[in-house]
Amino acid sequence: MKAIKNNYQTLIILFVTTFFTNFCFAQVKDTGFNKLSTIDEVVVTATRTQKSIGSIPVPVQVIGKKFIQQTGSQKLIDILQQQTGLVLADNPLGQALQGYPNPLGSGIQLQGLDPAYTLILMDGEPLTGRNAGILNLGRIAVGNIKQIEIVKGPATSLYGSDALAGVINIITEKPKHTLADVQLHQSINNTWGVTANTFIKNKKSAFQLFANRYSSSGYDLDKTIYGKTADPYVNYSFAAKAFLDISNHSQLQTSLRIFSQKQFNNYLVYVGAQPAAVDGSSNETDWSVNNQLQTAVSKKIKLISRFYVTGYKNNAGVFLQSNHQLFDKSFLHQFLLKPEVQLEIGENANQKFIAGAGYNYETINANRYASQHNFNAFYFFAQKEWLFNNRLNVTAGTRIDKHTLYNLQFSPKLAMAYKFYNNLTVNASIGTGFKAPDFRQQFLSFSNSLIGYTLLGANERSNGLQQLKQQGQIDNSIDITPYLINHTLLPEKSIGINVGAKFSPYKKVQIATNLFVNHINNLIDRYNLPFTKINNQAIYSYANFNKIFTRGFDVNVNYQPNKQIVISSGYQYLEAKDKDVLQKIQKQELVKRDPVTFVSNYVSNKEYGGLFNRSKHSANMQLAYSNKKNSFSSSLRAVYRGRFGYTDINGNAILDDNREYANGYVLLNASVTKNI
Amino acid sequence: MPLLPKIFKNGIALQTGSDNILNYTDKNKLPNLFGRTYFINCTVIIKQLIKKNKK
Repeated sequence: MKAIKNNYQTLIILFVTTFFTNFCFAQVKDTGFNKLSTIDEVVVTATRTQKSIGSIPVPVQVIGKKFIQQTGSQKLIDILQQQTGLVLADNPLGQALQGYPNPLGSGIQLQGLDPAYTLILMDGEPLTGRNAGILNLGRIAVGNIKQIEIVKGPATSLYGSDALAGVINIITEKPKHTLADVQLHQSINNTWGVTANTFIKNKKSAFQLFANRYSSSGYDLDKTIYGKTADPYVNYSFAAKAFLDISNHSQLQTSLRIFSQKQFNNYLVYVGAQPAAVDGSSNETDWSVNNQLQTAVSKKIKLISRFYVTGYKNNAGVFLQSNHQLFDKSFLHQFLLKPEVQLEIGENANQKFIAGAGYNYETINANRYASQHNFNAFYFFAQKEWLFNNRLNVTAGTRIDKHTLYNLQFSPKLAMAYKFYNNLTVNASIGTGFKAPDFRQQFLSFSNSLIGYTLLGANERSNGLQQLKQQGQIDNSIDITPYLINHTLLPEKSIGINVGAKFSPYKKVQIATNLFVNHINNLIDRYNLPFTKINNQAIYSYANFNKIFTRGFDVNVNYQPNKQIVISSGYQYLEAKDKDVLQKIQKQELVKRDPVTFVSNYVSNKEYGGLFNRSKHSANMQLAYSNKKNSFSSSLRAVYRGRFGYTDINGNAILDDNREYANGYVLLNASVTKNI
Repeated sequence: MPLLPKIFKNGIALQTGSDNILNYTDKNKLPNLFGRTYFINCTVIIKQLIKKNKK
């Protein structure tokens, strides 16, 4: 019956699609296409000042509202993964649960670095509530986004820890007119979305109200496994923004954002060796208040004061269906208070000096940690831009961070752009970054009730192992003594180099390319202890691994043969490897044992595929057509992700066998839009 | 100062599309990828137009 209903729904949608494709060759004002950004497009993330993209000496990608609208997508993650060099990556820890979506989520991998190394900002302020380093981008409704700015390469000199791979800044709309819109979205799996947006613009003030409800019945890819692959959920987003011109020189901007989601869980667990069904829910709440006062002290001096407060709560609980007893309960509560002052000196956009200072007060409390912990951090940043002969732009900046958990960190950056001709600009940048060991990596003590693994922070390894032994979860024959010494994690340090060019050989063609190299020292990563629990599940902990690197290049080509058609494509080549592994291979210290033939061999350089979850090749292609006269537009978008390392099967914990890869795939998306 | 008469113009945008048209799935390694989907969006826009009176 359900299948008939779904087919019926599918037929209706197919009919509507066909109808519009064949009969409604009409337009839309927007071409709605993500072409290479025009040089006068204004961005703020790369330099913390408003600047046209053509004069920025670091690689920046901008996703405009038109593209977001044209995809028809309701999820931010779907939009991001259609961009060159941005790859949707699962947290490897959650991959053990085959047949269920990764419980630790998926995030965006940038320049081959894990999602934890990319800072996600909303209107310039950080979002909190990362789970195992990954921020759930499903929390962000796209209906009020003006543009998304992606800065590739280290941005620690402006934004501090976590910005090693880059920054994704989600900029919400600022009212320019008075208007209102209401959108109804319907998709398969009984997915419904309702969005309402209102802008009110007066002479000296502007207001925006945004609300969204989104729900889905989930889906099931494998009927042989109990429960759904993805459980049903419903979420609500609300945002309010106000702009007020206090005087000719001062503007106050204040905004409030609230997100709330409830997911209805139903899956199978094991009580002892017996399977048992559980059901319950997980509730996620995320809120923030962002105040900003901009004052033009003089023609050349601007003062920006920011006061940002945000909180995140995740409460989950499941009960045994048989007797309604609580089976598992978890919570994570996070709070951040962040006042900041920024001074801007200079009239010319390419010759500004900025300096700022701020303070972070953060609290975190979770059932996985022994108690609530509070952190304090102070930071100072400064940046100066110079323009020589109207051709050479040099930007130098630095940031100093002092945090409760680590020593003083100094993060400098130097970037240059040289305009050889009006149609050729070459840019280069070098920057350092750091990522402090997070609380999870140091103090976590967690056993997953669904999968059964245990994860111990570096400072909890000794206590955790002793407890597992006492509880009989580690076999008595295993000697845990060598692992009863805790160790202190060091901050991860990186240096990133980007060299690129923007070239327009013809008026209708734009080419942008960027070569990148990132070296990370003291990488903190999860590792398996060399024994398992009695349920055969792994025990993980964290340690500083020596060094990794990621390097490669990306190319974007945009071709607009006429006003109606835009063709765009992008490609990224990536190598991501562990330097220690390369050394061991050279010294013939790494052996692999075939799980079928049991034949052992030394691993060769050629066999080593690098870090797991990285695709050497990824690409995208987009074709957009718009006809203003007939109010019609359409787009066809393809995303290719090459094969990537998934899991180790021959016991040496590295990627070196063809059977350890997941196949590459192509996602093909299409949409048509008709304005009436 | 001339009066600014407020005029409201309505517009409707209809959109339909399909994601993952090739229906690629890998239930074990890519459980987040749930196959071919179809969607419909209907947007109603009410926009205020401001026209300045000609002197």
